[in-house]
Amino acid sequence: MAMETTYTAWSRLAQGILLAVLVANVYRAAVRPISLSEAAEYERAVRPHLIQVLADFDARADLVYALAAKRTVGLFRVSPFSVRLPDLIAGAFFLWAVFRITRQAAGKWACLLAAALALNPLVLWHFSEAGGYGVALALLAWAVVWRERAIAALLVGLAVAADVAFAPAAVVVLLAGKWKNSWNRWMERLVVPAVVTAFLLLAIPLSRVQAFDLRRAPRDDARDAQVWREFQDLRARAGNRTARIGTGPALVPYLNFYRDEYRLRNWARIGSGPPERFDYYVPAGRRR
Amino acid sequence: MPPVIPILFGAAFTVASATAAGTLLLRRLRVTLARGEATLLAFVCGSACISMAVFLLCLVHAARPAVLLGGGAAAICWALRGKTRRKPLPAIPRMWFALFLLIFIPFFVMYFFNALAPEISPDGSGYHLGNVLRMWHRGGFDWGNRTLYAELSQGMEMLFLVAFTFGRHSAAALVHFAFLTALPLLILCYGRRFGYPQAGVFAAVLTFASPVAGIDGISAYNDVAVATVIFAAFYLLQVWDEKRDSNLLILIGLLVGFGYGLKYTAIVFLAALPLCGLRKPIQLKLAIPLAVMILPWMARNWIWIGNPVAPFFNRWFPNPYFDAAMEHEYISGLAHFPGFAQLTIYGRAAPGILGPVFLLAPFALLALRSRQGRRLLAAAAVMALPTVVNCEPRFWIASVPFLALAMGIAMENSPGVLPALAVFHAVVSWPAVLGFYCDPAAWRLARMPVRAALRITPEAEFLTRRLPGYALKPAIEREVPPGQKIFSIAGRPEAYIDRDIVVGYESKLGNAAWDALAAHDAAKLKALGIRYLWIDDADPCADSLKNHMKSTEIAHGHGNNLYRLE
Repeated sequence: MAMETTYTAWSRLAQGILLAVLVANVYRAAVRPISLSEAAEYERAVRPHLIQVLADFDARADLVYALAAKRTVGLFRVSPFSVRLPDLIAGAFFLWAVFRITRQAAGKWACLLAAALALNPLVLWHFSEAGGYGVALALLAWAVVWRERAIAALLVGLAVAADVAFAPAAVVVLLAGKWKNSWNRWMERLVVPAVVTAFLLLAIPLSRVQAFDLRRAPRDDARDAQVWREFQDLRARAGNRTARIGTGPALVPYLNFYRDEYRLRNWARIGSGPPERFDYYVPAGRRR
Repeated sequence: MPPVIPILFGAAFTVASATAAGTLLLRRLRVTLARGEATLLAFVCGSACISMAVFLLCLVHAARPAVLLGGGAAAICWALRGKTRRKPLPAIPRMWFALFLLIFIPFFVMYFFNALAPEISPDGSGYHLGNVLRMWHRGGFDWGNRTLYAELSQGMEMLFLVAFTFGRHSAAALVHFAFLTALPLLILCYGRRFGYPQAGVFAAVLTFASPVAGIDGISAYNDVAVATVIFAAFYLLQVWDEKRDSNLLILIGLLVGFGYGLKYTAIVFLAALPLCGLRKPIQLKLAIPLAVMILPWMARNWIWIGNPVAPFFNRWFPNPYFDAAMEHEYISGLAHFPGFAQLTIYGRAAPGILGPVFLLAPFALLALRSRQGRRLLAAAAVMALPTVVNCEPRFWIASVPFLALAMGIAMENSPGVLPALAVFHAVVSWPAVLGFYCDPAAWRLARMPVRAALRITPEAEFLTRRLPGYALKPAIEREVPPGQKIFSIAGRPEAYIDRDIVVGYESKLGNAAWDALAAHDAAKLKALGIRYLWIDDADPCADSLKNHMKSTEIAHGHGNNLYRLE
């Protein structure tokens, strides 16, 4: 479908909204301190040598983000902004793709569609946080924009390489590409290059993954069992005495969560003590 | 004289003799082939002729250095007398040719030094060159050695014998390396001739750089030779389909028969002939050379063993040397499909790996759209049939050239895919990169042993370090009188040890000795003519041997122990 060359007021408004979202992302990326998850991502994917990153590859990891972040950190030194830059850039491209796709709808609805796709916490959150979540989405969005060009296949492949969880979405985009294409052209121009692109980036890293099983729930049952065993062990060692657990503020949500999950209602929070220390008072008694 | 010189001479002489014989054959048949492909096909066809000629010499124990040297030199001189002008094949696009050279040359150098280094492969240093060593001593077949591997067709061993006569073990390995080098060049010629230059480059790279093809090709094995010979037969079949020159059928029959002479399983290619262009497979010009190459091996075995297809089909051809139960046990140990991940990436459950790129093999089905693609896929499927019996990756090598070409044809219209995959395959197949993802125990090349290849590191020192069992060689040759038998549960580096080693599963004698050992029956072992035992520390009978049988340990080294029965 040919792009319109005239910009209506509604298109300008859509551009304005998207630009505002981008500016908000940039501001958020620049002022927020590094979070624990971002620091962990940096530790896992950016800080080590590339060979080590590939050796410790995890099916949930993002190889494309790792490569991009190494570059941005190398160019601009380590900072919260530099590790978030790949996602920011991906966010910009995603918003641009949103604009291009919604313009095909034409008229005032383009503005509303663009706003609906851009003005949501997921866009604001993931595109200003390091982790590569937005990279795959941006690549797939541009594959939709350029669905009739050869580069679409490359983008689909890169999207899957950026995040394997995008494979089903990539399949749908490829299937959509069959429209108006003959079988031969579709296979040669879209499917084969897309699969080969993903393969080239993922074949060796994924071979290092020990047991990647999509059927398992993401929750780590082994870890939960270990936490429960440690609670039990603490209770057994404390006997009839009260126990105190000291923990830093970062782990308080986890303790609260497990306390509620295992219904440890008799665990009480003690407010006294230094500000950075949160003690739990665990009186003697049985778990309800 | 540097020790490398006789090695290089032995290999070069064998290759030159084969090429000369093939050139003479092509000239005699007046087959019109292009430059490049003619030389390669001459080498392959000439190898068949040389192999059969040496077979006949071995029958009468006349395979002596002077005879081999005289015959080969005569063939070379005769071939040099005349020259045939040939047209070149269509050129490959420059960028593609540059890509091919960029990958081919480093791998060629790496493979060359590995082939030149002392032979340490399990089967190469075991029964392949062990049989050759026995033939070299006797100038022909060792009729007293009726073991499993001696009964198989030994077309490749015939060529090894020529090289071994002048250059010993490494020369023989270099002959197989010559087949490894010829194969990608032949694939390249195929692509040029039939209008798929890019697919040809792609397939040549995939085949040549495949890790299992590499390590097999630089060893004294025969799998790569089988792949080369069968691919050459397929190639000539396509040429015949174009030109309908009936003399080409003679070459095709010669090559398919030679394939049988190399390895029984190659005969399955006959089933592919109708699918690959030969509508009437029963043609005299094909059948006669086929029979000439196959029947001598069958006749040998029938007269010698009582079974023309020994060591298989013993139920149909009972004989005193190998029975149906042993055959069943042997085959059942081979047929365990390890999974495609093991075949292509990891290589632990399956010795060797093809390379991760072959996980994209399903795309080869797109080649069904073209006639050449259909023929290639048919050939690939047929040559994969033997893997039902033996799933080791090296048994897939014969299928690889066809599959790689089909993949190339299928994907050549996808922009950038073929060069990207070719480069990827080359990079991940390089030894230093292989170690990153494949299993540490995978059978693969790990380094380029230049010092060992040039014999700067003495051969004995290298072999002692790298070849299990070689450490016992001096003790065996000192303590075990010639003619005495040594029993072993597993195969040993027979190529380096000039004594008869009876391996448990290789013959009825070995089986009986194994049973006697398990029953701690020393008297039975001696009655079988076995007074010496070669036992590993890890063997199941090692402890019981020490505790229950009167024996003296006369040598040990690197976990290997030599015992003499009291």
